[in-house]
Amino acid sequence: MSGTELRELLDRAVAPVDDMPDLVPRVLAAGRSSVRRRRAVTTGLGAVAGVVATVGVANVVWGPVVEWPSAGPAASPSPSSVSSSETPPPGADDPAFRAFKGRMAAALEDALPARLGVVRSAASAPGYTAASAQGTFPITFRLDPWGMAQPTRCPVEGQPSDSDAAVVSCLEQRLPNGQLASAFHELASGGTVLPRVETVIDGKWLQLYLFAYQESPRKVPSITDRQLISVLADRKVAALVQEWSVHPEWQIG
Amino acid sequence: MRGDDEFSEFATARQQAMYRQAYLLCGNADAAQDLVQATLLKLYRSWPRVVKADNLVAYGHKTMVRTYLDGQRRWRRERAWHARPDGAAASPSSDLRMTLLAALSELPPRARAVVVLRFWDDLSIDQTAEALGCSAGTVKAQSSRALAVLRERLGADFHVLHEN
Repeated sequence: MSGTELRELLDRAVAPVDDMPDLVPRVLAAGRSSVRRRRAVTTGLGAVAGVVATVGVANVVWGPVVEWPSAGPAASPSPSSVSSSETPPPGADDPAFRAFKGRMAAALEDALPARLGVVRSAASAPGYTAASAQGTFPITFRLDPWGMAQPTRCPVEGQPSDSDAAVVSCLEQRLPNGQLASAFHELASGGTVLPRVETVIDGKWLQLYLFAYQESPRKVPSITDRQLISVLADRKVAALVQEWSVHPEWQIG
Repeated sequence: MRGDDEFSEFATARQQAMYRQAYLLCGNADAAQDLVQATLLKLYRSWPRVVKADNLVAYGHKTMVRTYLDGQRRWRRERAWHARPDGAAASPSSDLRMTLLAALSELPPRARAVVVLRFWDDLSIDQTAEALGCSAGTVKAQSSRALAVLRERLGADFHVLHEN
């Protein structure tokens, strides 16, 4: 098959495709709104640039909420599926932090499989996310300051495992920044399989839990190891994680 | 606003062609429309910079293929496409569009982008490399492999399709 023949085939393949509706008015409306939001965020970031503390970073949890498209009104949080942190981060009321959480929620929504639905920042929970038992789950980032050269490695048959839990599946892959990432599905208490992915960012150990951290949600949505890694590999998410990691005031000490 | 007017003029003139390019990349109308919308939105946000480009159409090509390659939406839509029973079960000789799109869907996203840019948009190897942010050698290699895969997938049906 020559290039010319292929060109003809491609032409004929799209010839019967009807025109799509005019997208320009929709794009203009969304674009203007987006530009306004970006200007507001830039202004907010500028206002707090001078107050970034340089305290040591400690254990960090931050969580938007994933809501199922089909979920009804959120049920009361189940004690077994509520994130354990009670203390809001010092920067919780910071408008720049709120704006950041909004941007991260949007980036996560793009990076996660569509079936997981709308991602929202947990604006009403200054610290961390409460998850309902029926279809609403926390997404949790955790950053440890302890120097790590690499994330937890996938178990190798016949060798001691780095992971404490029974590993159901594991995948290792290099991220675009060259760092290794590993995604796990591990057996938790109650037989729940918990997905998480981890990597190292500036010597700190970054973990992303979907959809719980050290808990056993009643229901965990399906996501593959490859999809988990692709979340960390996503350019927007990666940039936001980097931004977040250098803001100790947005983290819990 | 002058910028908005310029953007509207460009987008209105280009959107249907972009849609067909997106259709070949994504394999279905809904995903293609999403891709065009995401691309136009990116162009709008960067319009003051975009409008300084020597070739706006080429800039649009580049933005679209990079949006396509970057996004997890692309990946999701591809999975959805693979899962479509009509796509999976299309008989090679029954419907040209289904057959070709099914064959294209078997290519990795970057190779598919190479096919669309090189053979449908008629970009040169260098222009395709620039759009994809890779070397001309990579484009040549991917193009050659993609053609081989399509030739193999379409097989004898290619000639039936081509003659029809």
